[in-house]
Amino acid sequence: MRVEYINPFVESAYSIMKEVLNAEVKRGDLYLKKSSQPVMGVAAIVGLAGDVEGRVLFDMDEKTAIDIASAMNGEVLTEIDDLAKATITELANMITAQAVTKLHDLGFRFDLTPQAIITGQNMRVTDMNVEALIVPFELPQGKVEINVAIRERA
Amino acid sequence: MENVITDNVLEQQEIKKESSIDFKMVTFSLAGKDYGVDIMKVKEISKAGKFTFVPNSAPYVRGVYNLRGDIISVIDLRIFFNQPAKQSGENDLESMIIVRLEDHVIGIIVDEIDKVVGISSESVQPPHPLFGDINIKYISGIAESNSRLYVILDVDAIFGTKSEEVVPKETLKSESLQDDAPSIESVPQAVSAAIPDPKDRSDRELGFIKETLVTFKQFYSSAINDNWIKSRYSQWFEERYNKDQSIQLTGIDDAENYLSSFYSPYTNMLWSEDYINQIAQFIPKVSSGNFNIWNPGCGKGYETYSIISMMKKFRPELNLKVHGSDKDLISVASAPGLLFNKNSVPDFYDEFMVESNSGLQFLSSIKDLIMFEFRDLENLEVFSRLDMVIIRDVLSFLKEDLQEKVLQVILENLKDDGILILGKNEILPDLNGWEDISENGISAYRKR
Repeated sequence: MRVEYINPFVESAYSIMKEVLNAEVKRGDLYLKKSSQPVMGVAAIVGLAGDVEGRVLFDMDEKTAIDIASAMNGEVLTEIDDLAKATITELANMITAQAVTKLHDLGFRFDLTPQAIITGQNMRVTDMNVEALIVPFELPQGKVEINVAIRERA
Repeated sequence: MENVITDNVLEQQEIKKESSIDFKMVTFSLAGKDYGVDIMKVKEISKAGKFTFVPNSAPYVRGVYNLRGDIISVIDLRIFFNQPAKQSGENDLESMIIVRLEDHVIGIIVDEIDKVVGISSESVQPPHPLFGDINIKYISGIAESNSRLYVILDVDAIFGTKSEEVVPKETLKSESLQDDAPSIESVPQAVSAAIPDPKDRSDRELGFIKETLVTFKQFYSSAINDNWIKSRYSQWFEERYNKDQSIQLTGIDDAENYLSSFYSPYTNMLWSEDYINQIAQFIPKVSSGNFNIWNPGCGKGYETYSIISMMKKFRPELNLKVHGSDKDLISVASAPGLLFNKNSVPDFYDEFMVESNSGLQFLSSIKDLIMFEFRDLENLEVFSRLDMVIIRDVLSFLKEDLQEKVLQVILENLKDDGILILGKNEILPDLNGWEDISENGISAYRKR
């Protein structure tokens, strides 16, 4: 993945999560992965189009998702209901949009596709012919992994 | 894996103080004798029949079976161990133990499945070397329960990759020994291996050095760098012997020392004008159009900037694109904004650089021709067709199977007559598809 793309995603994820959750956010070491990877339980996905093609996946387990949604809404949620889903997608959207704005300022043209949320157990994600960058974050609510797979349009 | 096992055994011994049963096995019979397998390896047991025959497979493979959607292979253990097997009728169901190995699931056909027996792992005796029917390496021990003796089979050794790795090595070793000394052919292998062979000593020491290079520097010896590593060894031996130091590499410093003469010229710095002129001879004769170069292991980008400057100088008319990639994020992330000290830059680069407050850097028109990527060769993917690949001193730091894979991908993605440049001490072991055009100490190959 082009190195210029990495920082905007890492920075915006860090600053937005810190802001909306009002909590200590710790970033783990970035790494690359290609083969299929397990998804923890709740995954919000935002597609990218334009100069590049790819997608950004926000992956967390169900409990983390509920806790994050509770913290963002200021009320206690107990299950992944419509409000929780909307909250997690919104978080994904905010982070991706800010990263794309930063990239736009650097001269790269990206468009976002409508976001989607996927929930369930025992899921895996496999990217064909593109390497995924994994950015792990440690929050008080639990672990969130941001999985970015982008490639240049040939 | 082995550590885990010993840990488990230790734990089991701890628990044993409270209860004596700490090892459970599923017992079954084969040709009237009792056997057991560790219950932790057993996924389930079932009655099954009508296996789908697989043509051209080994005689002990009964076929494949659809276990609730998963296709598993089915092995007849009786045939595997040369035991008499009852002929079963077309529609008969047979007893099958389904075992879970590290990466796959296998069904084993046995005569009869008995029950689960709990024993104390301390009462398991090691197998006796004179065991008959079944090869001793497949047996993990013998246990007694209710005055019946059970042979405990080691499922991993039977079906796992563990045994496959060990067996060929042993055969190889015995073969080479026999070649060297036909007179000791009849001596049992274990004994002949114990006789020290003086001419093997330096081989063995070199072997140790190769292993430590992997440990300290992730440097993998292979046919690509074997010539160098051998000639370096004789030099190293002399150096260390004269200084009365150990031949072996005792730390990361020694390993770095050993590799000090391995690296190609101008590693981690801009290439000199002379070196650029030498490399430029190998630029493929392409008349016009797109020209793609791949530079894996670009590190901080010195090499990539040198390459693009060389191309701009010699073939400015081409539509150039250089892909620099590295798996060290910190290095490659700093590459696009790399700054240079004015005194350290050869004059050759003047026309491509611009002075800024903090130092010299390359013109943005040059930088636009380069794409630096954070990429791991482990996850190779397809990219645009390449005219030239410059991969100096990178392959030697990849595991051997990955080295081959990377070379294969390069061969597939290079255009005809495309050029591959390796490090000065690296060679292509397999010239299939390549033409060796190395010259002046530069390892270069043309795709045929």
